[in-house]
Amino acid sequence: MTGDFERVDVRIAEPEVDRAPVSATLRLEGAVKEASDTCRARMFVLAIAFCAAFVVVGGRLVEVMAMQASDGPMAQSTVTAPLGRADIVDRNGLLLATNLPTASLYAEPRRIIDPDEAADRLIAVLPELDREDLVAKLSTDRGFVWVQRNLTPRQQADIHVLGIPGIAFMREERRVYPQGNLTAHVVGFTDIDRQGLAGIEAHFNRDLQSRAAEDDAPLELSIDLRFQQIVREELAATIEKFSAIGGAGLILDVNTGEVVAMVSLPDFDANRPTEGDPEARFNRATLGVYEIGSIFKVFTAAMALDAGVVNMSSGYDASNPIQIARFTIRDYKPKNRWLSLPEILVYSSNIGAAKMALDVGAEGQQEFLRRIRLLSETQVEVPERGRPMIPSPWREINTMTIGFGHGLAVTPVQAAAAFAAMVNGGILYQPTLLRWNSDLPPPGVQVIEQETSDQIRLLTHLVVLYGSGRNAQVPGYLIGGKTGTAEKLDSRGGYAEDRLLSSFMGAFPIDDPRYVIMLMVDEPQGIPETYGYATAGWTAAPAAGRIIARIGPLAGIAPRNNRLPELPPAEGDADEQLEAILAAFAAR
Amino acid sequence: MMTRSGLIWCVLALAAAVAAFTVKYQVRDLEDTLAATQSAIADSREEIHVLKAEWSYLNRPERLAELAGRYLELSPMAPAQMGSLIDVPLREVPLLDPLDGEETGTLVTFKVEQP
Repeated sequence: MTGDFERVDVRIAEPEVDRAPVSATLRLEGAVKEASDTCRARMFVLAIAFCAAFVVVGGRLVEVMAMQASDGPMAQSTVTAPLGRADIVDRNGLLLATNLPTASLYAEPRRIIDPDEAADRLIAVLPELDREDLVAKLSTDRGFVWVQRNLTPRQQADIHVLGIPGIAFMREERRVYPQGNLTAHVVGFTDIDRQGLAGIEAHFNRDLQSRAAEDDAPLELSIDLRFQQIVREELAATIEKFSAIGGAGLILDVNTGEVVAMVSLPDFDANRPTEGDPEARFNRATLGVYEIGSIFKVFTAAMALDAGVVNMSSGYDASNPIQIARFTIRDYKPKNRWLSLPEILVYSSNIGAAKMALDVGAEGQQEFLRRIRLLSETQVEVPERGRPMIPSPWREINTMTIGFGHGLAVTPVQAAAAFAAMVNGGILYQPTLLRWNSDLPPPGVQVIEQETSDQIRLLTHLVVLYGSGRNAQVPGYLIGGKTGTAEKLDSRGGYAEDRLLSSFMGAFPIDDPRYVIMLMVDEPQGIPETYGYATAGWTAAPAAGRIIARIGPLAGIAPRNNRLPELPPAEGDADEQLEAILAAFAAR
Repeated sequence: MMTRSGLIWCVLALAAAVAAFTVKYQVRDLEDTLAATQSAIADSREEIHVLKAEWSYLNRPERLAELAGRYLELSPMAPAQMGSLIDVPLREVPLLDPLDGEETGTLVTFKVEQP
C-alpha cells in the first residue's frame, strides 16, 4: 500500500521541473493533502464506473419504454383461424357461397380425468355422438381430437355450462350456401375442412383459397340467379306434370358462351350434400351424355348447307323408309313424299336427315362434329364433365342415325354451345361458368359460314312457326328452335319405346339471337291433356316458351310484333303459309 | 456553483422522466384503444358478413316469388307490356304567357290525361 502512494507522489512531482531532482522517498507535501488527493482519484474512478452504469441503465430504460411500444399488437386469439375461402357470387353479385363463423368442439384427452363421465355428459347435449367411439377418443393420450364440428350456438352454450376440463371450443368457419338447392349443381359443395368436392368449389379450390389470402375478391359466375330460378321452377313443374325422373335446363349467352342458367333435377341442398339420394348429385347438364334426337337435324342441316350439299330449296325423297342392314329408318309422322330442306326440319324427317348426312359422308360428318366439339370431352369449369359416347367403328348406318341424333350421346351443355354457334353467325365459344368481364367478345372459332348461320336461324324459326316447336311460341318474341324426342336405350341395348328423352333447343330473339335455351325432360309420361303424348313438342317446348316469356322482359328484350323480313306475309292457314315460304325460297 | 447546476440537472431529469412516463402511458392507452377498435372492426365485419349471408338467404328468388304472390297485386312482366317511347303518341299543348295569357307557342308532349 505504501508503495502505491509513493509512486503517485512521484508522478505528481514530476512536472515541477524547477526543483532539484528529488528522491522517491522525499515528502514534499503534508499528510492531509496526500490523503485528499488519494480520495479524489478514487472518487474519479468511481464516478466513471457509476456513469457507465447509469448509461447502461438509461439505455435499457429507453429500450424498454420507447422501443417496446413499436411492437405489433399481440395476437387476439391463441387459436389461429383456418385457411380462408373467397365467396362465390352470381353475375349480379348475389351470394351463392360464403363462410359463417361457427364453434367446433375439441378435446385434449391428456387433460381429461374421467373419459366415461365426460362422454356421458357430452352425449346428453349431443345425442348424435356414438358413446363407445367418444370414450375411445377421449381415453387416448393425444393432445388434440375433434369431438364435433360446427356446433349450433345453443349446443355451444349447453356444453360451455357443463364445464368439463379438457374440452374446449375452436372458432371455425363453415361454408354455407344461402341459395340451397338452386345452384347446387353449379357451385357444388365442400367437405368439413372447406375443401371443394364438386362443381365450381372443386374446380376452383386453389383459386378460392388464394383469393381469400390476397384481396378477398369473390369469384363471379356467369349465372344469373333470376334466370336460374325461372328455369328451375319451370323445369320442376314440367317434371312434376309429366311424372318424369329428372331433367336439365340451360341458358347460354350466344355471344360469349356464358352459361346464364344451368339446372339439373333432381338436385340437393348444397348445405347438406350427403343427405338424400346420391342420384340427386348427378349433374345431367354437364356429366350425363344423351342421344338428344332430332335436335341433331339442325347440325346435319348446317353441315350440309355449309358443305354446299344442299340449299334452301333442295331436298330428298322421303316417301319410303330406308332399309339398311337389319334396321329400318322411318319417319315419326311420315309424309311419304319428296321433302325440301325446310320441310325435313319442320316435319322432322329422319329419312331426309339420314340421306342428307349420307350425302356429306362419314368423314365430313366426323370432321364437322369434331369442329363443333361434339366428339371431345365437355369443356366447362366443373369436374363433372361428360365424354361423348361415339360409335366405333363409325359405319354408314351410324352416319345416317347420327344425322337425326341417334347413336351419338353428348352432354346438354356441349350440345347447347354447339347450337349457339349455329345461330350466332357461326362462331363457337367455349361454354363457361365464369362471368365474361369485357365488352370484347371472348376468343371463338368460326365453325360455319355467316350465311349458313343465317339460313339455320330461318329454318329453326320455321320449326317453331309450323313444326313440332309450335308450343314454344311466345306472343311478341321471335323464336327459333328444334325439338328432339329420343327413345332411351334399354338394358338389352335396344331402344325402349316408353322411355323417352324429350328435349327442346331454342334461340331467341331469332332475328338477333341473345340466348340459347335447352330443356331436357327425362322419361316423361303422357297425360290426358297432351293426348297421351310425352314427346318434346308437348313437354319441353311449352316449358321453354314459358321460360322465354319470363326471361325476355327481365333481359330487356323488346317484343317484336313483325314477321321476319325474309318471310312472305302470313296469309291463309299454316300449311298455306309454309307453302308460300317454300315457294319464295325456291324462287330465290 | 456545483449545487446550482446539479439542482437544474436534477429538475430536468425529473421533468424528462415525468414526460417520458406520461407519453408512455398515453401511448399505452392509445394502443388499448387501437386494439379495442380493431377488434370492434373485426366484429363488425363478421357481423356484416353474417348479415349479408342472411340477406341472401332471405332474398332467395324462390322466397321473393312466394312473398310477392302473397302480398303484392303485381304479376311478372309480360313481353307485351314492354314498349318504346317512340310508340307513345304525342299531343300538342298551347303555351300561354303567364302574364297576359297570350299564346306564345306550342308544346309537343306525351298524351297524359289531366287529373
